Amino acid sequence: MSAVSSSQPFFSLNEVKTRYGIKKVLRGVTLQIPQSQTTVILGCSGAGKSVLLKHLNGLLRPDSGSVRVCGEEITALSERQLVPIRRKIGILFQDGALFDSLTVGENIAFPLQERGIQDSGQITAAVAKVLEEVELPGEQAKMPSTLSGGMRKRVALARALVSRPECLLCDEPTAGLDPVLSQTISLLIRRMTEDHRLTSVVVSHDLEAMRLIADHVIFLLEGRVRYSGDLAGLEQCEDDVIRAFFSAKGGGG
Amino acid sequence: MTRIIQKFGSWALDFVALFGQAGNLLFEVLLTIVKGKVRWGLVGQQIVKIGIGSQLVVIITGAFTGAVFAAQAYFKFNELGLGSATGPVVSVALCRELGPVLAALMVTSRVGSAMTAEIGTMRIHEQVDALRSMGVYPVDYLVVPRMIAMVISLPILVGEAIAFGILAADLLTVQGFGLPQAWFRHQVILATGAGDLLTGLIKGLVFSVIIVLICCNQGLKTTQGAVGVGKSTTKAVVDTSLAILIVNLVLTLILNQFLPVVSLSL
Repeated sequence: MSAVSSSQPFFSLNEVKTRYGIKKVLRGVTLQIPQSQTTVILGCSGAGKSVLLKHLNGLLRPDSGSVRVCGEEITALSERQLVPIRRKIGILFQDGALFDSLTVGENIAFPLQERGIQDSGQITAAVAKVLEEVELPGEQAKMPSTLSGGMRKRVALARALVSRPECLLCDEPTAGLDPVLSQTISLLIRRMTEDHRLTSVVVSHDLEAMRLIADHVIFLLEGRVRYSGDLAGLEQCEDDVIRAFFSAKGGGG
Repeated sequence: MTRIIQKFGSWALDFVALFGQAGNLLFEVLLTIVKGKVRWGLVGQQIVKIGIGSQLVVIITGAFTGAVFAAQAYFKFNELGLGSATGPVVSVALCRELGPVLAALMVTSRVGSAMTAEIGTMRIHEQVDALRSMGVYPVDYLVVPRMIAMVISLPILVGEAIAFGILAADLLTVQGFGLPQAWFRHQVILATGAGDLLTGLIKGLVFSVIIVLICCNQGLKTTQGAVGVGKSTTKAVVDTSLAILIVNLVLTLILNQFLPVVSLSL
């Protein structure tokens, strides 16, 4: 399904710098995110993780540097030119970002309608299928305001995946959830990534979630990449800052 | 002194920025309309919210403004033996100034503030980013339907405010003060030309564009959570109200060249 060769990274960032006012959020991020794997971006609060994630589909633009998606430079593209790129990428926002005025079913159907699918039978079937995949069958008629935090995340995940994207971006998918729900959501992301052969990028500071889903880990510190590699390498890393992060989080390492 | 100059400079920069952002947004809206990407279903929903939802408040505003203006005009004119001038003065003032301005201010308070708050809340809860991430251009989805609905609804609301204002003035002066009804109506019809009504409707049209541009723009640039939504909403209502009053003066001066007031003959 992917248009890129397996050796080519899905995302490639080179010297990306972004500031908000006088605060430098990203201070020259260079990294590559491999396709068909789950990459977890770790880091302390304020490290620039969510900002980095939003650069990957052009929701934010860097002050300088290059962002490539499947080999295509996106930093200079207009909002309208970004549409085909964004349609390859589903995104799960931190609080779900469900539209309050629409039902669960309408929220999930929204991306399909925006792609010009008119057949209501096809849309209904796709919504029902993806709701079953996220273990919320038959919840189409509920309003987002009546859902629990975990259910909102699952509906948002269903909306991100209903149009079968090539890549899934998740911003703090387990934030604000209890450990059991957190594990459920992590395993769901893992399963969906494997079932649909997705390239996934997950921003988190939840070490348990990271261990469940990560193939590749990037540790971000003060707007720079401190570590990029596999999970085992990170846990054996001698870097003081990373060790301090792990011990503060109670994750050993 | 330095602080005053800084404050004025900051206000002037904000005003220039607002002007630029509103101009840019207007361009985007027109581009979407020209490309035929209008979501008519959303336009219908917005017409219900703006047009039908604002009926009562605009009718009450028009009626009470017409009545109170008629009362004050009658008290003064009657002292001079010119009670019959009440109808024409109220009618022309309602058509040209009070109807469009007050209807626009009421719609700004009721609908413009809701636009800013709704879009601002969507912005801080990342729903605007969610739209963008799904390949939906927020201007197409959030601004264009509101703009078309407002451009259709506000001139009609202005017409209603004028009609109910004149009706209330008629009721008060005829039933309350004993002015002969035929005389009142005759004078109103004689003094109120199509140009007066057209002036009001043109102003309604221009104000509708101003309300949507300022309120939606303010919503789209909301930051800082719930506090930011409150600040944005207040700023949108204040900026829109001031813009309406300032633009009204400009429009009065321009439109009077092309659509002059009919001469009174009492």
